[in-house]
Amino acid sequence: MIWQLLIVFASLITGDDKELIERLRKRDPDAMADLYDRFSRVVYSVIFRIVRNAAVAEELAQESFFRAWNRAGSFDAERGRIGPWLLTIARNRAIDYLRSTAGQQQATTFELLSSERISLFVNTEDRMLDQEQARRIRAAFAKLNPNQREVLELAYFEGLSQSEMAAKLGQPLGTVKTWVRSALTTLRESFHVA
Amino acid sequence: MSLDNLDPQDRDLIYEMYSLGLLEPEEMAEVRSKIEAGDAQAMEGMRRAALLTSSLAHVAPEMKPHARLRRQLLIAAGAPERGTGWAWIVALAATTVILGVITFNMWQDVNRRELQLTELRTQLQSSEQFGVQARELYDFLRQPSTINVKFGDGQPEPPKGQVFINRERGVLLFAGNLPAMPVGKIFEMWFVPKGGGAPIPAGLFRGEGGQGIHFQRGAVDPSKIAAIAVTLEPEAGSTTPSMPILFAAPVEAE
Repeated sequence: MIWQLLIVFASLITGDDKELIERLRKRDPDAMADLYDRFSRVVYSVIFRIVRNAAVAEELAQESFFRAWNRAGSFDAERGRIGPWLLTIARNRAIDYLRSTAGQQQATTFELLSSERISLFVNTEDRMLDQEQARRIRAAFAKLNPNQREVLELAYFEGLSQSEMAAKLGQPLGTVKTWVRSALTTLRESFHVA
Repeated sequence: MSLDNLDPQDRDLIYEMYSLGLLEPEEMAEVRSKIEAGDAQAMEGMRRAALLTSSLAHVAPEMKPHARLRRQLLIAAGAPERGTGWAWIVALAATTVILGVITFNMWQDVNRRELQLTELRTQLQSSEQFGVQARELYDFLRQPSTINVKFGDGQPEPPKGQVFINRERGVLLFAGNLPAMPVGKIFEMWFVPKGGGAPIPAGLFRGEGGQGIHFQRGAVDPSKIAAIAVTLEPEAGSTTPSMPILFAAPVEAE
């Protein structure tokens, strides 16, 4: 019993996914509490930023955690990283909600679901969820020019396509594509160098 | 577009745009088919892209979800909520009770000490009064002008005692063998004037255990007093004696 507590405690401190995924796979109800305690803030923050409504954000966060809970059985505890996967689920739920309220659900739901494939989250690093990594991505994002930041925010937090961004910003599609490409390239380079 | 013909950086860009949903439909379809086919290069590219694009989550201002979200999730997952639950109510109630008991005890202690203090103050005042009276009586008795009259000596059934008279200060009576005071009665002292006038009231006093002390302050002229007498009177006192004289001490002024 004491060893189990120590293992749980250690996993909370070190953010070890392996032990948490194992318990989620066994549908240990306490694992849901640990999953929530580790990721609820960042999950809720992303969803709220997208839908900008607390009640809807709570509902979508709940859906996201349950989706992870119900699909954790397919996760490979040795190779999988649950944080990025959970965030992808959360972001997709929120974008899907935005799309559905705008009557555009059918066009994107399939693509959103395909980005949640568990196989895409094996052998990835979970470091993206630690505080140091959060600081690094914010620093890298701050290096972008306003246009680059705007198109990335429109893509990530509003789920807009490049054509939709061009229409929204009143810019030629080519200009928006340039901003998107340069933004992602700069972000990738800054992020990996930082 | 053919992913196979792109250089590594452009491929990374395509995967990142795919994960953000920014590719055109035909580009989307190509990437998706590679992912579904388990293409190793595509999977690796998508993992890197997912890491980068998911990191954008940190750009969102940090928000804290309401506590009910955790409760709802845990209940739905069938987990007993680990958190405070009712425990905080029990802890609060226990703390309140303990604080209440401590406060009540302190309040009782303070009250008890206040009572003791009041009692001590009363005792002190009483002692001070006694001291003042003792000093007054001592001064009275040591005056050379104070005369002393004994009464009742040699009589088998008292009362007996002494009367001290000082012209400037008054009359002090010590009486013994006094009868018990009936309920509603009190001893009253009288100055019996020479020449047969009506007795003059000279104060009320109580007896205890057959003893009685009375000090009637004020100037008095012993040469005009034939005797000091005592009667039992109603508690309010009388202006003239209404009961028989218990004893009378004759005054013989020099």
